[in-house]
Amino acid sequence: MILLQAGVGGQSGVGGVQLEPSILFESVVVLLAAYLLARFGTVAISALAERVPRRRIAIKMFTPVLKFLIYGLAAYFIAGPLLQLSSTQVLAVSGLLGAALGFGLKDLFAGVIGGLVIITEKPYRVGDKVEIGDHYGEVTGIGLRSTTLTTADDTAVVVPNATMFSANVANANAGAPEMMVVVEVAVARSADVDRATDIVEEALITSKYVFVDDDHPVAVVVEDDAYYRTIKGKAYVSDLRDEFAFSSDVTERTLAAFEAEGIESPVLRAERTRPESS
Amino acid sequence: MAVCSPPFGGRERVLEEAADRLDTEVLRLEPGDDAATLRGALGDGSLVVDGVHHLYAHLIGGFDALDAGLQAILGADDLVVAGWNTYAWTYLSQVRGVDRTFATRATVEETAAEDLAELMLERYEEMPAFGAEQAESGGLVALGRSEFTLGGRTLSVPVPVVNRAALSVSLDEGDVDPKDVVFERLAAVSQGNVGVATAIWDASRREELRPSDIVASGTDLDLDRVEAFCLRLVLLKERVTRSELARIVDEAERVLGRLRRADVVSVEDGEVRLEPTAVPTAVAEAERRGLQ
Repeated sequence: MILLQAGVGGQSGVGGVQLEPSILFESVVVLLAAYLLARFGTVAISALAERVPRRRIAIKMFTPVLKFLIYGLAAYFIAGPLLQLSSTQVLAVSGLLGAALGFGLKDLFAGVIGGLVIITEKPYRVGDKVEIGDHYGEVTGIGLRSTTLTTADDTAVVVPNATMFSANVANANAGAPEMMVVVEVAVARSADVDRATDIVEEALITSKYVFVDDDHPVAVVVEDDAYYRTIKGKAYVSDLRDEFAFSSDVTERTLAAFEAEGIESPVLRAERTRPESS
Repeated sequence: MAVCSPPFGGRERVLEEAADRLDTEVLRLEPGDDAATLRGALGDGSLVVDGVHHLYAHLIGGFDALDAGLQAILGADDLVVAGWNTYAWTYLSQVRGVDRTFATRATVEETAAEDLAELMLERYEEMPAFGAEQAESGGLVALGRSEFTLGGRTLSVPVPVVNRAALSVSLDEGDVDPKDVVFERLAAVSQGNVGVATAIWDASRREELRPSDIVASGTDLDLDRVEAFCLRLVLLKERVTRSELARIVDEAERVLGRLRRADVVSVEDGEVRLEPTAVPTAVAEAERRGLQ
């Protein structure tokens, strides 16, 4: 049992917890300094990363590490003078902490542990394109408790770090600035599929967003369906932020070339074969 | 056989030498030429041809002439020596496998600083005086200011920055001849490309020449994605017709205007040409963005 102790000369406390005004003031100063330092560090790392697009993700990887270090040190500096506990009190506090974790703080604690696992195992990093549960977007922040994703429609989704223990995490680029983008177009079964495939391939390799080398090849595959054929073009973008711009650019130019060369789409085909009476 | 070099890197001279040895002329393909030009020259003994990269255009349907030209080369009975822009060669090897068409590939290597110095000393009768770098401020670390946003407010805070000029002086201290430092920098900036080095040398010449005077055109340019892509296209082909660029690049006239004003490209007779002094800038920009 922890006994309440009356303060002497303005001191008050619970067991070994020293609640002196000066200690409280120092704690507040340390917290504020940690917050400012973390913000400044985040901004500095972000500014540096944006100047080097090809190394952006590698540089931004240091953001959560820095935050954990700063807040970890702050917690250490605050807890040191504040909690001067005897071994009995440590046991008692541990029991209380265990009960608190069991009832109310388990999600928070799981989030923090999840954050540590994210930093050490790196299932994703700041800048990666990931799908966690039902949400797909760019990881824009990894905090102590949660990860922030920014989706294609610029919505910030806050996902608790603990989610990674229970949900599948799909990472599209795994820390690399390049990522594969799959572009799909459909053509009628009667269309010249060889020419259509060539057009899709040329649209991919002439895009201003594409990245091609030995490790990042371009591929085009054809899938057969009952009423149409799907041509899938697979290529990498040099910057994963260009995912949608690349997809749009390739699709737009491919469809324009299809139209110019008379390659029929399934919709056009269906419209043309529709009986006049209907 | 393929002979590759960066723009202005000495490919023309190598091909002329090859033509002399094979007792033939160099066929120079121009922007807008098609495979018929190449096919017409084949079958009449050995052929030396430059600018095969002009057979392709960076758009859908733009590879037909190149494919036809490569087929013609593959079917030739006699030796064909083909000159390529290195960057176009790398790109076309990745996306069309042009490297599989040629049994042998020769690359014009970078020229070392001392060889560049020798070349310049041979080429020009008068040399400038060579000066060491002078730092405007003595300290290696100076204070600059950087802005960042906190809680919606933009704050300007002092940050330490490295004084590059002072650092350069510090590194160059000792008995290093300023002339050697200038030519080392010329070789580094031009990446050992003789044509580029000569152009930068011409543009940098003054009474007293310091290492920091050796700079490529457009180094300070902050290009957007479209401008960088356009510059990359000109780097790949060295010369492109204005009409071809207009078909590929959005807002081509605006982009060309900006690149022209920065002395990165020149436009003449409907043809856009890469300025030799801008090759390092074009290469650096493409590498920075991972452009193909």
